[in-house]
Amino acid sequence: MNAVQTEGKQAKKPAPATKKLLYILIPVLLILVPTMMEYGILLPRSRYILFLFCIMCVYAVANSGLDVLFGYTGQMSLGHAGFYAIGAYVSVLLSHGSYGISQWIGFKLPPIVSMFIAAFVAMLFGILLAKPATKLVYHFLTLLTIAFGQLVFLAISSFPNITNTYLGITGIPPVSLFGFKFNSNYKFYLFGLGMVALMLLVKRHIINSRVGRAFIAIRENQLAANGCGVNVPYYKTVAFAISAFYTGMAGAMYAHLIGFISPESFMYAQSVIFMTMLVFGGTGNLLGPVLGAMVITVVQQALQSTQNYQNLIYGVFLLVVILFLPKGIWGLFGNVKNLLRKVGNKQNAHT
Amino acid sequence: MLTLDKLTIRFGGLVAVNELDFHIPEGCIFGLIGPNGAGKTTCFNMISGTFKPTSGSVALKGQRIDGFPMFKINGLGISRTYQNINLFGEMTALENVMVGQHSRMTAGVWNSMLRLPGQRAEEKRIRQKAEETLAFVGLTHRLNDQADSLSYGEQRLLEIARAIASDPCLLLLDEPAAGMNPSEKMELMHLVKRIRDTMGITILVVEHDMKFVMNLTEQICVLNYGKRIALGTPEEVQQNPEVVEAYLGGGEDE
Repeated sequence: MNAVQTEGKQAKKPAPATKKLLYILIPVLLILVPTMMEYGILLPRSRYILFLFCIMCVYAVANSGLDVLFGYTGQMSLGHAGFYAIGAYVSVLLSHGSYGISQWIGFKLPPIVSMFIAAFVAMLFGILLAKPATKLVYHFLTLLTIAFGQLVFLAISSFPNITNTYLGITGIPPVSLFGFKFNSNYKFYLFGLGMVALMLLVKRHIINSRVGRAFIAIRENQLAANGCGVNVPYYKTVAFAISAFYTGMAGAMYAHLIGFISPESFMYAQSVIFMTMLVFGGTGNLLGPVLGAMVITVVQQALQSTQNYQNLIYGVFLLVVILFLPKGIWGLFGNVKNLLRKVGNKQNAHT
Repeated sequence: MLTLDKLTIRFGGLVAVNELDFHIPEGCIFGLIGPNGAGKTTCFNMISGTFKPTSGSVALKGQRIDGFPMFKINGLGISRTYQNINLFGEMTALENVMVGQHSRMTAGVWNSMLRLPGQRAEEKRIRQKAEETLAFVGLTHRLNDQADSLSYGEQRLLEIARAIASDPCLLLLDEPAAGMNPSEKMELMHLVKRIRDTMGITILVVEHDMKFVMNLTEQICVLNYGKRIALGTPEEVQQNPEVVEAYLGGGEDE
């Protein structure tokens, strides 16, 4: 009996070691591979792939935010394109040389500052939206968020003096930090990677705390959460605020990456794409949304030639995931892990 | 500890609870019984803040609490369990009990985001307390299991653990023995007594099982059609002719 137990412990011990190795290996790979691509060592002429990596970073931040609201707190939103737009437009209007505040008061902010202000503005809108949203459930809530997304879209497409409407705003300055300009895809990727790491770290802290447990409690059982002393409307508002901050930040990152924004990038379809990514990757965990952002970005590119059927193929994709992988791709990893553990346990039992 | 004064609630034309008065002394195990539909759970819901009474008052240690939202009442020291189990299914047993201590924690959003030393210390303290509470109800072996995967009896125990983790002064148990077998009921009875004796928590219990109530409680209030028909020790209540007629004497019909 004792022998078996000690053996079991020994078999379990290597697991954290491989985990530690992964913690070192993955960041190294995330930096090394694109660097090799940039300098032509790996896959020459891969500038476009680097651009996709940048987009993945943007989507990963946006999705992580949506996950706080949908995955953890259980509040459905199909209006996140609205926060995305607010983040993008506010940041641009604060940092652009010939639009926004520079036009009005002859003063502009560096993009790195304007991005954070933009995210805060998106957060304020999140709190504003939460005011009615905390009182609604199910499809009523979804309808409200759709309406919010549409309102923002209408706003940015109906003030030619401010947003230049459908012509869009060009010449958006790239992000710079201490004089270093992130003006190529590779450089922006490094910046984006840093942002993803920062945002994931903060998200992890929030989730593993009193606040995060309150979120999950609301998702699992609102009545019981209330009975346990959780101020449900307050924490729903906090979830909306955090979610809006993340998505607003992603919108600002997007604007400074592409250098051009127009209302078309912030239509209802964008909200659906966010939701698709999230469900696809897996809700309610740290890396699922990132994974979803990566996969859907690739799928989007692969489907670009089939424009008319794109939505159809999305639909089929989503159906397959919902039917066979209710926890997303990340859940699939979990299944494989469990399977391996079971096999491992069986082997231990035999020896 | 808790005083109800002419507590009344109407749902449309129906008077679910009518001018209910009783007082629960500190450290007492108090029973609230009555036939189905007598208004026991409604009364519970008014004390815990789910329903707002139409008139009358509820006072905890002399402070009026009627009409307060649920989370605030929990913060003031009233915890409850539910007739049909309301756990956080996808959280572990430990996490469930940690949520139970929500109102005993202070860490806010910024504190948690930055993981300041104070927040970490609090987190550690709350985790330890949760482990102790689970040990107290005898669920240490299910610490890291999902609440969903626990057996029915274990889920009931977990609900109690979640409720007492916040060190309440008053614990409301809504039919805690429902669906339990006799030996589980015995264990539960000892647990409830242990909660009162070691933690000094006053307990209000609604229960259908007469044997359970008569053996456990020190005072009983009997409700019928929303009205109080008797109040006293279990022996007194059992001998009250009105109670026998309304409730205990119903045996031959069933």
